[in-house]
Amino acid sequence: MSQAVSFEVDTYQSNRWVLECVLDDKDMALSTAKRLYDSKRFSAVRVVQETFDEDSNSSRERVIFETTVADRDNRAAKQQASPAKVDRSERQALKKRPRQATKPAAKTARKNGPSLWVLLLWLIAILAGGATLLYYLQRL
Amino acid sequence: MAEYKGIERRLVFRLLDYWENKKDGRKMPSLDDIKASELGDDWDWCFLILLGDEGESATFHHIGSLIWPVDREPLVGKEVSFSPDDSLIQQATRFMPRVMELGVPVSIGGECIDGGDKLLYRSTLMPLSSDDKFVDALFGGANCRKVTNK
Repeated sequence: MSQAVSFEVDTYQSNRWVLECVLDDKDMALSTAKRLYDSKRFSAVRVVQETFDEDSNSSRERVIFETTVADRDNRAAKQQASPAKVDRSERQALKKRPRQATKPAAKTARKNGPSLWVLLLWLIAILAGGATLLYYLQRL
Repeated sequence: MAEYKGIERRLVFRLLDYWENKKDGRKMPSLDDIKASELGDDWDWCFLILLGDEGESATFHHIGSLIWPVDREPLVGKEVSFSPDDSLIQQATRFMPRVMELGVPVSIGGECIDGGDKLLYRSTLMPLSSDDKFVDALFGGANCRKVTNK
């Protein structure tokens, strides 16, 4: 079976595809299509692979590359929509929290109520006062 | 086809760009638009063919010295069909009918034997027209490198 493959580069002009050139090399055809597209003179370009079967004298066509202005716009929009890079210049390096910062807070928390020793003294004073009162009442 | 990456492709792209720029809103440039002075060193890899009525009796108008060395029998003014079989110039012009039929550049690569050397070549052939209706000349270019047996 004998087959000949060629690649046609088409541009889209005035609502129809126009043949621009024919090459036998796929990479060259793709490069040519991209160069034509980059010239921004065409709304779309494509590469059609044509396989000609000499035995059956018939050809088969297949679009292997196509790009349009919409594709270009989409790519541009996607690039614009991508999140802005974080400006790390204003960010300061993270530091460990100073160890002293926790202790004063604890002390401050304890100062909010009476200390244990004060409560104990109050208890002793109440007990002593109660014992003195009982002793005085017994003496009456 | 990976062998053709490199200089062979760059020449073809340059010639295609040149032809494209010379169109200037037309379907194709004319023979008068092709200037040797604008092509620089590439001119020696280029050739021009004049076509007779209905594309017949195609004759060489110019052949670069790197395609057809000056020490060979001159081909300028002779019919394209006189090109020796399998030579680079014969290979580079063999798809003339397709270019005239399509009216667009065609680029082909392959192997040939020229001057006793086996060559890998890449060529392009582009249509020219003085009235932008009928193809009355062709602008071509080809370059090559020797195939070295490893």
